[in-house]
Amino acid sequence: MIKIESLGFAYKNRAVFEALSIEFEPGHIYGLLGKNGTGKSTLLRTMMGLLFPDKGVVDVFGYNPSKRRPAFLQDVFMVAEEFYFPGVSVEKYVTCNAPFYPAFNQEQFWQYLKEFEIPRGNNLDQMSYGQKKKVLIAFALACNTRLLLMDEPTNGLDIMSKSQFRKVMAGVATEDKCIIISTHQVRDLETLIDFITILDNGNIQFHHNIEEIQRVLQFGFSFEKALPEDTIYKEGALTGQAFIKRVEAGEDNTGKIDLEMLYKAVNLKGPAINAAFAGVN
Amino acid sequence: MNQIFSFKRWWLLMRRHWIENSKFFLFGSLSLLGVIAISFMFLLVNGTHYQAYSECILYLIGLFLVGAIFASGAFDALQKKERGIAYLSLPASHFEKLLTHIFYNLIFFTIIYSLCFYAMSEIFELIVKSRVQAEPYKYSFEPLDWEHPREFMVAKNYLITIFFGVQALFLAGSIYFKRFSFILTTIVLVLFILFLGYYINSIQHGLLRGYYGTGASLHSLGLSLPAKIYRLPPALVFILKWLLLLGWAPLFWLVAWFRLREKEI
Repeated sequence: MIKIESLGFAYKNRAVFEALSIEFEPGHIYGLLGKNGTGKSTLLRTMMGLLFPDKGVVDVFGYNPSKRRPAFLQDVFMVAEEFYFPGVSVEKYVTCNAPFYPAFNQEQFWQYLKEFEIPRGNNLDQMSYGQKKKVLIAFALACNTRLLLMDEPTNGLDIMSKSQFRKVMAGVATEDKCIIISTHQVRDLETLIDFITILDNGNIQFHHNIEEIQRVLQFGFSFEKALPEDTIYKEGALTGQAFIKRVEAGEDNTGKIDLEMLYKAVNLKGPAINAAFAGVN
Repeated sequence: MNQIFSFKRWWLLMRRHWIENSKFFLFGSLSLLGVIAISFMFLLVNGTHYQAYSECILYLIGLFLVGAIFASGAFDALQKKERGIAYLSLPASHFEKLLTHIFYNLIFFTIIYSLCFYAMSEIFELIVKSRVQAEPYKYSFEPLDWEHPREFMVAKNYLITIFFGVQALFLAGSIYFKRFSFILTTIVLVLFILFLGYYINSIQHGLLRGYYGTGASLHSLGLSLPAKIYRLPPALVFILKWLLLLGWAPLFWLVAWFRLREKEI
């Protein structure tokens, strides 16, 4: 379990977090959303032990990440937005990096590469950005760490690769794994994420799982001008209006969640969304 | 699991460093051979009386200079965010990471540099000796005379310990300074030497006015006799001497270790 309590962090001249508190549980894929500069990457790097909190506590599986102890590092992996590969072949890269991760599975790695259509013997410095990213994602998944942090993993991937990514990711979520994906491209991950966390100005603005969202909010589309009375958020489309409304008592809601619209609703109609979720835990 | 040092993890790190940098080491060695060859060519072109002593001076200058440049690039992974993230999140302790760099910068570099220099110096001496043989009235060669050693030959052990210290300083500098670590560490070193010179000079002309020193003892210069002699105990002199000679490298490694632990990306 990952527990962050009253986290305070500031860069030289800019405070990012004042007193952020949040918990992440294993068995979920968290989607970490937020505007640019709200602290998504900072939060991931703090959990990874690459940035140290100014105040508060960050506890990852009982470890203090700032110590960067080998036992902690071999159980976490971060797919950073900007990443580096040495000029060696994929095979050599695996040979010299995989032994650091006790749960690394070679078979799994080559299987993921096959799914990503990456040739086995290629040199990493001759690959495109997207290909390298796929190698990194495959390596990260094959490490089988309990915590997997991904910062904009679909950036730089083409349409086919995004689909391959979703397919691969769908198979890796297990009870003991916690995957946190920071992204702006919510549509790429809509089907994967089962917990939505939205950051705003260093604060948690929204932190609910899909079941809770479905229990509280209904996403609909109206071809008419009139919208349901309890509509919280609406936006115009070519042929009508998309809206989010509260689920009425006793109403069965199994409709699809539009993450992009939810994100906009949380940002623009924050108080109304919070009021709808009041008392939901 | 030992969180500070595990031989297995260190071996894996050493292997990883070798595999990822083998091309750099190969090309680096070739360039080193080239630079040494050019330096020897200058010796060949600019003289007729060749001394093995000059080769030794060249060896030491190169060892210190190239060694410092090499060491100041040791932690270049930390100078860029993407490389730094991969490096710091690699499951090994800071001590193991530092030890790997100490090994490659101090032992591996010194061996490779010495081998390159030795190879070139053998070729140089072959050329020189053939010249001397062909034109003995024009050319001459003076080998090292260990029975009548020159200053640096006497001080070779001290020079080696100073080299360790300088290497360690530039290694620490490569973590401390995000950019231009070689230049900035050199500036720090020069400032430190200037400050040390000024400090010693101030003591000699201030506190110790009226005294002169010989080794580890002080003699008063007073006109009234008997003159006073202050002497440190020989054991303390021995400890201080070797601490000052050998202490710099561990001190800078410690600084580097602390800095690596504190490093944020």
